[in-house]
Amino acid sequence: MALATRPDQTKPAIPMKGTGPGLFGIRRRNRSRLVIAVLLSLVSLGPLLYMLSLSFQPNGGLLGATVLIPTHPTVQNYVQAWTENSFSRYFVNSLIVSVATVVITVVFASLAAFAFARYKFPLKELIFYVFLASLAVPNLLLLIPQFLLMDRLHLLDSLFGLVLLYVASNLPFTIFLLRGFFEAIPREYEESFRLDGAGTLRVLVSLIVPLSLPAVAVVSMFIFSAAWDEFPVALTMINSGSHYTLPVGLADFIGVHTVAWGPFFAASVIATVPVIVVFLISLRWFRSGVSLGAIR
Amino acid sequence: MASITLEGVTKVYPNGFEAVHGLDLHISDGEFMVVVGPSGCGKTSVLRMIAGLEDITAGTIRVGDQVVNDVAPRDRDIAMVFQSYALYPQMTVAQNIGFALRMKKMPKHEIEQRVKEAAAVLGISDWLDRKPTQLSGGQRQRVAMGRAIVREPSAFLMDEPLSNLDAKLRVQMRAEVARVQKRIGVATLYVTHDQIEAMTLGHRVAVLRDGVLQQCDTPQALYDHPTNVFVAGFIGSPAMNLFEAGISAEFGSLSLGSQRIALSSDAIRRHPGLRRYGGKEVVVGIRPEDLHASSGGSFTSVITGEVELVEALGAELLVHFSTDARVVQSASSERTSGEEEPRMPASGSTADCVARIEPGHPVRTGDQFKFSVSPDRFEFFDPTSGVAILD
Repeated sequence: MALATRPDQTKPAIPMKGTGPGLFGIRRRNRSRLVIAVLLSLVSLGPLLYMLSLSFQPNGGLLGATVLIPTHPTVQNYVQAWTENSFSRYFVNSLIVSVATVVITVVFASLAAFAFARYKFPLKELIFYVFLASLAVPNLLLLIPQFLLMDRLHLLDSLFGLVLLYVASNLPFTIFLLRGFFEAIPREYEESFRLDGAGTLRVLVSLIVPLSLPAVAVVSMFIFSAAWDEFPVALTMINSGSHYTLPVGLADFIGVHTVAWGPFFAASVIATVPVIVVFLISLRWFRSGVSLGAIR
Repeated sequence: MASITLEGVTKVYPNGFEAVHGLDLHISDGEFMVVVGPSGCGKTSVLRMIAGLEDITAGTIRVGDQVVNDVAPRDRDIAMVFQSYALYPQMTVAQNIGFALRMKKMPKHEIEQRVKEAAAVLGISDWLDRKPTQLSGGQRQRVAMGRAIVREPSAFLMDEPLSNLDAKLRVQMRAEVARVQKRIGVATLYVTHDQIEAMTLGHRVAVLRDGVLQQCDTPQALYDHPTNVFVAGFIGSPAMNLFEAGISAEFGSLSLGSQRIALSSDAIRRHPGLRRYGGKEVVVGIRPEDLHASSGGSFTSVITGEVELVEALGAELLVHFSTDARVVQSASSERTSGEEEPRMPASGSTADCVARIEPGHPVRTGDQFKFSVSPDRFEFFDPTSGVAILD
């Protein structure tokens, strides 16, 4: 075939030092980069793979397991994890709390960021920096005041109370990030929208947010992940087992005398899946990145 | 459809900069008014105030009979084409064009029909499903126009809509803009820094300088009777040559440096005010096209200059020359020129003058060349105020 015999146009006539094709067609210069990349990936993915492997090991041989691929894989751990300890309940609780946190935070942060980005009002910058300063306060320091506040509001042991606290802790960073993105959107879009008959809310909902989807996707992923994994606040605010979120529920697998490692790792794997799904969904927006190219 | 009226409109920005000063302007229904001026002259501020995108500091703006000073942009029924087009990137061409109609809650089938009609007028029917990023500059420009005309607005504002196009496409789209404006027939205010666009498009042209209206008239009147040195230097390409000159006490001649030019009785009759300038200095303006290579006929006088540069444009020669007469630099000389403007080297003499002559004449750099002129084609200005000397 003509295509098969066509000479490689991109190949230099004389290979330059360090750039010539090497093992598996990878250029020598890229080979060292590849090794570093693989090593770094192993550091990140290693524990995850180990967790995945252990979740399929029969409970008896867990701690002695030295091979990554189990010799007698079993799904018994998953069945046990899902059916015992009200794990499915924790899963649903976490899902409700995380999704609600994402939605409420993004809605309120968008409104606030839009005001900071586009309007002039007294003490605007001061208020903004106060928001930012709250990022410097460690969350654990706020635990007791928050507990007392929730107690006064009769929101202890309530998922709604938990959502409120998560929204409060995520708002400053989200406002900060969205403000920067909103400010980068050319004003002509907004002015054109207004001339076309749109009001302020329409400008935000139909113009600013759609044009900021990459930023909204990033913050949504961060917020979801933070709410999904959060442990100390949930442990402090929630008392009854029916309101446990996943991280608190997972701790339940660790008994006083024994630890059911198999179901524990299986539950951990299940707990990881939604975060990965959310990441994959938002990845689409990172890559497509709605272009602002219609402005010259 | 409505007229637009500005009465004493002033705009002072929070930093104290006065962009527009006491502007009076009336754009009749169906009229194509072009506001032209150099960068920073306040022309875009005028447009934005009419659109409602900027508050006005003083004065009144009317659309039809309604004072719109405090009316929100969306309630003014004014469409605008932005310099950057501002097409919404998340929407298709059809959605872009139909957006204003959706905001008016028009039935879907009617929106579709009007979008198709507007697209047909502008020749963009094949691109309705594309996103703006998939279009070229000229196509985007058409979509921006489509978005404005589909609304059938009371008035139409355009902010340098052709400035992002290359020279060839700009000429093509200029004709397109004129055609569309004629078809929709609403009051149109078009802002540009390009005097060629202004001259070719506008029924009337308003020349703005430092926020002050210099002259508002038909393109031909601006060209023939500029009201002051600024307009004289701004309108016309290449710009009018402006010299310091002396009028003899008996009005018989004009001294341009060491050269004397006989003033005809016609010139005095056309500018009776010159009688006040006997024995005094004036600024004389000579259009490049009024300097000729051939002699005889109606040309009664001659100006001799040293040729510094010859630009052969095919249909004509632009001859840059210098004389010992002092050249007056109009404040408009920094204007951004149109595509037909000749370019001089940065080291060009401040005494640079330009003549536009017929091709075929043997003109060479360094020559002492005699240009024939007819003094009754000259324009005269007061050297202190810069105002045209007429009556």
